[in-house]
Amino acid sequence: MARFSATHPWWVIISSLLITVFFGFMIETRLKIEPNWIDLVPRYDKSVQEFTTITSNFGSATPIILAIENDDKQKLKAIALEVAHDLERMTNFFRRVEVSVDKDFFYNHAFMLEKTSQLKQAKDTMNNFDLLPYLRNMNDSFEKTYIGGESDLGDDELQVVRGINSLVDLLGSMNHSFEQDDPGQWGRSQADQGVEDMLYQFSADQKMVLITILPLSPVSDLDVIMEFVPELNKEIDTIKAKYPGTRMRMTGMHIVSHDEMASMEGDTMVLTLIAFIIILLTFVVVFKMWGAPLLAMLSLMLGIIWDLGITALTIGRLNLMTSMTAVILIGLGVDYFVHIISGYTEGKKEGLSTPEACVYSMDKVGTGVFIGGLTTAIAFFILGFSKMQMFKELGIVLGTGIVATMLVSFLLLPAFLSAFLKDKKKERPQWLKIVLTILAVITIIPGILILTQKIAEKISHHRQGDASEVFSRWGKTTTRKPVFILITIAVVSVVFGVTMFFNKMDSNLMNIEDQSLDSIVLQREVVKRYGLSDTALIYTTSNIQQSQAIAEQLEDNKLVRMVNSLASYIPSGKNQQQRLPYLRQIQAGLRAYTPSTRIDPTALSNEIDRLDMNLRELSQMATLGGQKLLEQRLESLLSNGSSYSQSRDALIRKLASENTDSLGRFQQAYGQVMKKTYLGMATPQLITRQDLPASVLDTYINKQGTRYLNYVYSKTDLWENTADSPFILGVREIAPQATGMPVLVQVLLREGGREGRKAIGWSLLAIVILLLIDFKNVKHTLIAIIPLVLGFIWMLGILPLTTRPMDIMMMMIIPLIIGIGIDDGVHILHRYRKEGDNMPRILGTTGNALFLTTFTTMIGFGSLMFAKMEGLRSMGIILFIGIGACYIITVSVLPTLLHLMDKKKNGGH
Amino acid sequence: MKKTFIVLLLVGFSCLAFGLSAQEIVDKMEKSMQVEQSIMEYEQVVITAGGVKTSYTVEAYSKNANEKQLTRYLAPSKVKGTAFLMLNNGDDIWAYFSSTGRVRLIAKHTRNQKMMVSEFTYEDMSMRDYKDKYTATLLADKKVQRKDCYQVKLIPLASSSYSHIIVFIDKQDFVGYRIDFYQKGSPKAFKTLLQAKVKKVQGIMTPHLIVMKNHQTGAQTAMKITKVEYNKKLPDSMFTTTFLKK
Repeated sequence: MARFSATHPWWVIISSLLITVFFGFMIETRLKIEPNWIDLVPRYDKSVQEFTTITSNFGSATPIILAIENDDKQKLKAIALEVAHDLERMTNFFRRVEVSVDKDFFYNHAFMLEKTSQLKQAKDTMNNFDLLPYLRNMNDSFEKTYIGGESDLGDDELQVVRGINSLVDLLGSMNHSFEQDDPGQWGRSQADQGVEDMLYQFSADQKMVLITILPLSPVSDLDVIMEFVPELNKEIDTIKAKYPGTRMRMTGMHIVSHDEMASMEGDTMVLTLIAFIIILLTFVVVFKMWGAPLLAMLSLMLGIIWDLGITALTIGRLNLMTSMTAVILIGLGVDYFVHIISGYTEGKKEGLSTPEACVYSMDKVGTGVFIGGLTTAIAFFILGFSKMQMFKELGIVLGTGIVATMLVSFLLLPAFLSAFLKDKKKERPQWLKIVLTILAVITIIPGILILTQKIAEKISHHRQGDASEVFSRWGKTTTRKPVFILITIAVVSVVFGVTMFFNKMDSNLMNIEDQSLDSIVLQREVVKRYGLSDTALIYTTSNIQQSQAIAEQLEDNKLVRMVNSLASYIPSGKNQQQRLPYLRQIQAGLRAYTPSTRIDPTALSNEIDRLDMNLRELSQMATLGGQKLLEQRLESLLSNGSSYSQSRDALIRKLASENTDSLGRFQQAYGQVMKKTYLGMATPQLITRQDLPASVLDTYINKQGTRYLNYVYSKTDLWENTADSPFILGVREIAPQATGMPVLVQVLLREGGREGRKAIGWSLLAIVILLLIDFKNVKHTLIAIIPLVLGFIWMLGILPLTTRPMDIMMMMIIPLIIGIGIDDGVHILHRYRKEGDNMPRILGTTGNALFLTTFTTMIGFGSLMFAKMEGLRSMGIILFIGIGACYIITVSVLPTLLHLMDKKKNGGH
Repeated sequence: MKKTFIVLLLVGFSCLAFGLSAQEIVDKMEKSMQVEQSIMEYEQVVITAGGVKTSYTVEAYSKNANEKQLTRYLAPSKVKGTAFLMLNNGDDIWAYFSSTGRVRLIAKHTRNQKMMVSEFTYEDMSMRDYKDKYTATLLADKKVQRKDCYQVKLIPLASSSYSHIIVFIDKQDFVGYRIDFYQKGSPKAFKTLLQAKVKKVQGIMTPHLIVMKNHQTGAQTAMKITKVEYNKKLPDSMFTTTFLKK
């Protein structure tokens, strides 16, 4: 093949370019990049099927969360309403935009939705809104709550915070009532606002409000996501411009997927370029020329285009793992070119012509390259038989890539060398110059090449020895101190064999994303500021009774923050019946209440003091009870100079020194509004389906009316410790059908681990068989495998020393090391079988080339460490370590063992 | 053959003679670890279900074999001085808040609730009189922390938040190295208490590391004992609400 290419270069070059143009066209028209982890999840799993069923019934069951921040709560509400109004028009993308609870429904049925135990308390506290009895009732309630244990603070943390916020707001309104021209009007507006605030999803500090957007398309539909997210961003930017000082950010899986894609697109291009440039520089420095390295890199790029073209024709997409194919193949494929150019330069040194040097090179290294490449390709292709789509695609794309780059190195490189690196300098035709210039331009910036060449010249000028001499000396050492080397490697392997057990698994999917993304930052902030996970588990039931029964059981789980379903709007018949008497009592209490203007300043001051003490005690209880949300909120409220502290002090001062008529009029008006509103909220009437707003029915029931959707929210970040989440375990004990993104991550980890182990086993077996066929020698086969096995241990043992935990991306990429790590050993053994026990020579020639191939491969993968996405960095780190470890073991253990074997065979001589 | 038979017979008789009943084992455990009065200082490390880790320094006094207990937080500064007083085996619980100087009575029904952020309930803290308060059944022996242990199932006679507990008691020193807590209707332990780093202090076997792990939530509380002193005379006046404020 090489002879034909070297003697008929233009045939080969033109045909190859035609093929490349064809594949380039295929890539452009058919290849999609879908770096979405959801596509990696095996579809055969029941949880995945349930997830798919839910998305087909309800569109997207995973909402987008839009967070708006502003220090002014009332402004925040107005902006939220405007944003929601604008987004509702994007009906081609969104099913529902929810900014608040349906006002009519809430004002008529709010109390029926409260827990019976809370209503029991409310009947004593919600019957008088005159400030003194109201504050006294609230203080009594606080003390009962945390001293009497009538309700676990942790269960209703956000609810407690909201209660405190409304009381603090009331103190502020009371304080300002002294300065109002019309305190009555002020009282009415403050009461209205206070009740209305309950409709919105304010954060604990009241500076953030959330809008929930339900997209029509599922999170797996990247095309639609890439279409609507930029539009959404544009819309939000327009509104944001109108309100300076307002911050708007989005999160949710749709946004994360979009941001992930955008981040990956940038990463792919930049990283490929970085890998390309560094490897080219290395090439130029090592071989002290730029013509052959440039042609090699050009051939490699064509090989990668072929691979991607075939991928476009077969799979049609690049997923999260395969989207980095170009970078991986630059690192892996360049090995073949290094070996061939190494042989070629050797041939040239011996005075051969370019075509003859090409043939010479193939003769020397061709078999090694072929077998090495074949073992790697087979190891990858074995992944193609995996049940998991992710491994399947990874195996096919990379296996094809290895074959393509190897084929190009055998076919195209000799042709390029023969065509462009003529032995006798003669004037090149004009058209050739043009082609060369175009090639140079497409490949790399010519300036970098010139600079590189200059650096190379400088380095080579100053270089004292030759790399091959270093490896040759190392070859001698391996024959002089074999036992020492083996013991050292064994000791290090034992140490890493121990440290590998210190690896920690990080199953948080958000940690593999670009940590600077707004969507990722916001995701964590929502958990902190709301005390609930932004992601929910979802399940469907066939009727509302089932939803009610499951919700009641789930609410007993200490890790469940809330269950959102139709049952949240229609409690079970039994619960409603239990609540009716309390609603009647509340209404009776309210009817008996006549708002007054009477103020007892001293008693009111005392109750304000008591409230303050309760808040301080509550703050200590929250610290001891681990209720972070409550603790932080109270800490901020109770700090010196906070608006609460100022209102409290001012109010006490005014109560002691000023006329309280204004406050009396405020109280009366406030009480009138509260009485009227709460009378409506406490309507003693059973809620039926007919009472529900259409938007609620649309959210929780499918179009056919056959499936009911339910969401369960965790109190803590559901992405943390997803693999062993007690929340998921607890929820699935009650609702085994519960699914959702975190469950899919569990499936991915479980199946990925299982399939990965299988893939490693099968790849290893395939390699053993191939090597047995090639070597026809069991001992040589086993020796070739040693670096792989020990390299694997070293890789896992070194990882904990970097303090980086094992993550999902590392776990998925680890099987690749089998295919990559075997290569070096195969080359050494091939050379050994040709040269015999001449380790200085073997390492002086092959060792040198192996160093370069390993170095370039490590650079290829190492460039991933510069990715913005943490998952890609993880891939880079683990493969960088793994390849380095396999190389060190190969050049240490293999020559030593082979030498000892020969020595034994020759009776110790 | 005859000799072997006699040896086997003797071994059999000795087992019968020295075999302890479940009640006796529990009794021995209680005696080996229980003290009339104690003073302790420990670091309480709490890891919540969400993985948030917080440390507290606590001093604790107990009298009449835990019938009276006083626990005071020394750090962090936010809760420094806050104290809890448990009387009548945890039936009466008082809290003192250093931020306001108020003492509050905590309702009786909180007894089975968690004691602050820890995974220990007030009931756990006042567990004693196993012999009188539980029915004990001996289960198959088991190795726990590399020690041969008796496995004793205890079913509470009075109302409790647990359906039963299983205690693993070392055959040599009668220390309960592990306790599994069960709730009604569940075959799996929902909480496990581990006692480790057991050292003799003033002749009493004392675990210096006590860990309570909640299997349902993943939360855990570890008590690392830094100072311990037994049978120092503690006045009754220490276990009063007045003393709480000091």
